[in-house]
Amino acid sequence: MLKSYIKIAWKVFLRRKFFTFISLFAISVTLIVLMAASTILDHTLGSMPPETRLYRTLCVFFMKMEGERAEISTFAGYGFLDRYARGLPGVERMGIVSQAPEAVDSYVENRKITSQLRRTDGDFWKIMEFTFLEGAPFTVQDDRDGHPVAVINATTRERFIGGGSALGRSIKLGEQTFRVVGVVPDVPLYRVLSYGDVWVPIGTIPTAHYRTELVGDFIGLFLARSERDFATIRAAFAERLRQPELPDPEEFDRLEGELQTLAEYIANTEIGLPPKSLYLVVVLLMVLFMILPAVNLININVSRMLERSSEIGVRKAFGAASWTLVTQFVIENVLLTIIGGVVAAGGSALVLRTIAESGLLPYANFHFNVPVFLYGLALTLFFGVFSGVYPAWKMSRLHPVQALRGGVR
Amino acid sequence: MTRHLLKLVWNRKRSNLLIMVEILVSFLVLFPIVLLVAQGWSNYRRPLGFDVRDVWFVKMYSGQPTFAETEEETARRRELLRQLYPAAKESPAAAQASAALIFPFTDSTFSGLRGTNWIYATDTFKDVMGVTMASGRWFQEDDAQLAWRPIVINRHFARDRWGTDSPIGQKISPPDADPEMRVIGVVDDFRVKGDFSSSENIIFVPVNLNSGWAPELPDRLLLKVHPGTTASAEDALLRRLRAIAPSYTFEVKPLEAIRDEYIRMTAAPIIAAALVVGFLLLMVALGLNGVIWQSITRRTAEIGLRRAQGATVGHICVHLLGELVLMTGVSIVVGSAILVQVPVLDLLGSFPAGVYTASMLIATAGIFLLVVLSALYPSWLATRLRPVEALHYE
Amino acid sequence: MIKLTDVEKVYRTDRIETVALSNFNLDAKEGEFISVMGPSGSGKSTLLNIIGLLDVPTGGTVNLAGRPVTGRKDRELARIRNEEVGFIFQTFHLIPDLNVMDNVEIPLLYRRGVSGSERRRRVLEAIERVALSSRAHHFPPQLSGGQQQRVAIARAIVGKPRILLADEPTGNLDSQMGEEIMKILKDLNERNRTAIIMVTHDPGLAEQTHRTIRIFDGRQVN
Repeated sequence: MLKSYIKIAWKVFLRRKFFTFISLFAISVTLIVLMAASTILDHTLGSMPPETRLYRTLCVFFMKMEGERAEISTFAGYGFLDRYARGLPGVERMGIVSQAPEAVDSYVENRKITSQLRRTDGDFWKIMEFTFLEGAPFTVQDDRDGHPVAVINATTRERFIGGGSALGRSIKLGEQTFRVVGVVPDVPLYRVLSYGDVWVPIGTIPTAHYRTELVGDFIGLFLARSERDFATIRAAFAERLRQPELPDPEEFDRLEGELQTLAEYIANTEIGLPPKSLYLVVVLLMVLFMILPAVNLININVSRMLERSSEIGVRKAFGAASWTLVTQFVIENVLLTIIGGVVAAGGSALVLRTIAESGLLPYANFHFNVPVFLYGLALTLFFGVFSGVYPAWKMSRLHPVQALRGGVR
Repeated sequence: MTRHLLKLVWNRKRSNLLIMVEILVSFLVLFPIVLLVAQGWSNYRRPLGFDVRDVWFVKMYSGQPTFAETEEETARRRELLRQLYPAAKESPAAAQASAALIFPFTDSTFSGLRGTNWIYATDTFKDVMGVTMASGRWFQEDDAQLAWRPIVINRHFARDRWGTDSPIGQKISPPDADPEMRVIGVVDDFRVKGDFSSSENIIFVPVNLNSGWAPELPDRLLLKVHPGTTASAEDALLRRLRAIAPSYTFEVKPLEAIRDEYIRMTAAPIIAAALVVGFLLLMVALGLNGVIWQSITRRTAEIGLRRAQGATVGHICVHLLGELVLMTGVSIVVGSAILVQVPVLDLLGSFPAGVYTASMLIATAGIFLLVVLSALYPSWLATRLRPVEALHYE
Repeated sequence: MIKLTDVEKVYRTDRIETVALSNFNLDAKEGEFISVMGPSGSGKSTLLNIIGLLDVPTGGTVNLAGRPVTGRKDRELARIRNEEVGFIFQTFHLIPDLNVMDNVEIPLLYRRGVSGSERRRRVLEAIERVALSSRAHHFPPQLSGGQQQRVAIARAIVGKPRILLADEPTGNLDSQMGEEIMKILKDLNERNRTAIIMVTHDPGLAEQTHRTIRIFDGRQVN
């Protein structure tokens, strides 16, 4: 039965090439944009290497020192994280990483190389799951003693050393020289917590000033045992904010900060939204984005249906039940959207590759993944059914005599 | 004739409704992107107020945040700056140099007065950046002797604050200003945030490292290099600077490169959005083409009848396009009403009335063009039908 | 009024040539009521289309209301159609989305220099002529077949043409309604001296006209 429906649908597509083309074009373009956007979003917020445990990671980004007249608003300070934020209940491990990479220049054989330098503690490497191409991460001990060691990415190895192993080799970054202990694959820019070219211990910072800072230039990473512990951890963290003695009691009377997931942070800073609403807003935007293609598709479908009204009239006159015709129409639509979905899967891969190759996002490497594909498929079916329902309803109400005359008002 | 068309459109409102909704949504999608592009373009065309050619921008990092530093640390930083600045000035590549606290081509501002952006700069700044004076004068070395602090503002601020009155000699009193500040000069403009930004209120505050008159340390250096200087001179400059401050990290970049990067990064999302909107509208055009084609086929008999009754090909064309243009008009009126009512556009920032109106007109014209283009081919097909065939269609 | 001389119409497709009319002559005087009969496909409709300037003959000349029309441009033909000819069709061809008055008004819209009030006056006059004043604001689907054909007649006469062309005007109506339509046509013919050419299959109706032309295979017989 289904087979014959599909066969008829196929014949209809071939007969009405123009309508088939514009329907397919509309479906594909819409899905390409949606699938590409959700892939980028997924690569930014999803739990992917090296941030495989992002789903159970809380971070402290912004911290504020406030008083009546003054306010210092910046990132978390190393001193606060190190002395006051350890050992929160429900936290499996805590790590510290500089809030953003800093650019450092090196000169190798008269070539200038600019690298993105990220400073981390030893536990960072136990929270993140890097695949090591060679060597191993530096340790808590390396950080504490300020050993000049570095983990570099594959591109940096290529730039400094060329072919061959980098282990034990020295690289000069700015005025400091580091010994390479590990090489990892390139980490793309959109991995906010781990992106960098070179990672070195925080302990290698020349001055010791940062060790006592309550607010500063760092991000605290709190790996929870499970997402269910988030509330407990947040409450405990709020307690800890009251512990430190503030440096200038006349100016400042309180310390503020909040544990956030990466999604909450991005919603908050990039779009200025209340923290919890990111996914809601994303869904809303996507729905808004889909309105135009949907209306367009409905219009095309109504036309497609009207064009066949005399055919429908004949079929009805010879005894076809309304629902068979509706089924036929809906199947045609679903088939069309599935074809569109396949085209879009290829198209979005192409779009993502173009973005990756444009160099706007260093080390961008989007890969097709199952959740996005399933999500796209669900979207496709929703699209197909949604845009087919109104025309099909209209068709089912078509009076055979009117239909034979070739029109409805 | 217009009334006749109006009646037809109105009486067919149910089947026309979906088409009108589609045109309406297209307009709502097109307008914001046109607005963004128009705003960017109208700003881009205006002079930046400074010249990025042959200017190198040097950033210096002491390796620790400045806001929490002790007084000794600040003093040390000041002392280093006092040596770094002349070293840069006297480097072979530099024709002139200036030290400043400035964040060119970024959204960062540094300000001591609400609604203004402050740039701390040495007296050489004007020549390095090629700033043109509208009236008054720029800072001089011996301004340090004055009992008050001279400032230079841009024309936008002058007009904003004093209207048509001359701002020269006027005082401004920010909360922490000591001594008082007086305007000594007005520059044409200085859009420090970049080519796509609107004019903002700029105040230049002088710093003089030698006299100790430097309320904020100007820890960025601007070098006007000799024309034709290549990147190879960079290394020599860096070596010079590092010799003075070995613990510092320096970053040298031509201002032109910073500007190119800024233009690329600002334009990229807009271009991406415009591409997406372009594809959406192409899709709409194709869709409308199909819909109009179908509706014209369905009305072949009507077209034949009109021809029989003495309508010329021109009449039919005017008729079919007229109906669509009317529908588009209604959609756009509704769309404009929605845009005026709903403050969604505030999310995109504030726009000058001229840009807003121009965008409205461009978006309207764009939608009309879109509809007419998608109707042209089917309408032409319809008029090609000979009346006899049209009447016997069915 | 209408003069066809040696009119010939041949339809050519890539392979086949179909002769729809050949060596056809017709001379209709002012105020003449002529019926045309013949089997399907004999060329009746082609004849009507050629007289109504909807179709161009492949040979011969056509003279309408004293004007030679052969070789004129579409724009001029449209104008002559508008001023001199009124059409009535078997399937009415009313526009379902316009009410009676708006439908009847259509021919006047394609004529220059007729003011709105003048149009309204003439539309009402035409509607009254077919006794449909009470239905002026109805839409075609709300009317019976006979009423719809009366609207079509009102539309045909609103421009005061001197020639009416009717293609089986009663073909879709029952005999009682058909009679009604025929009465109106005869009345128009007698009172306004409008020349009428009517294609029909009904010998009873043909008898009521001044003369009948029979066509067979594109030729006039008898």
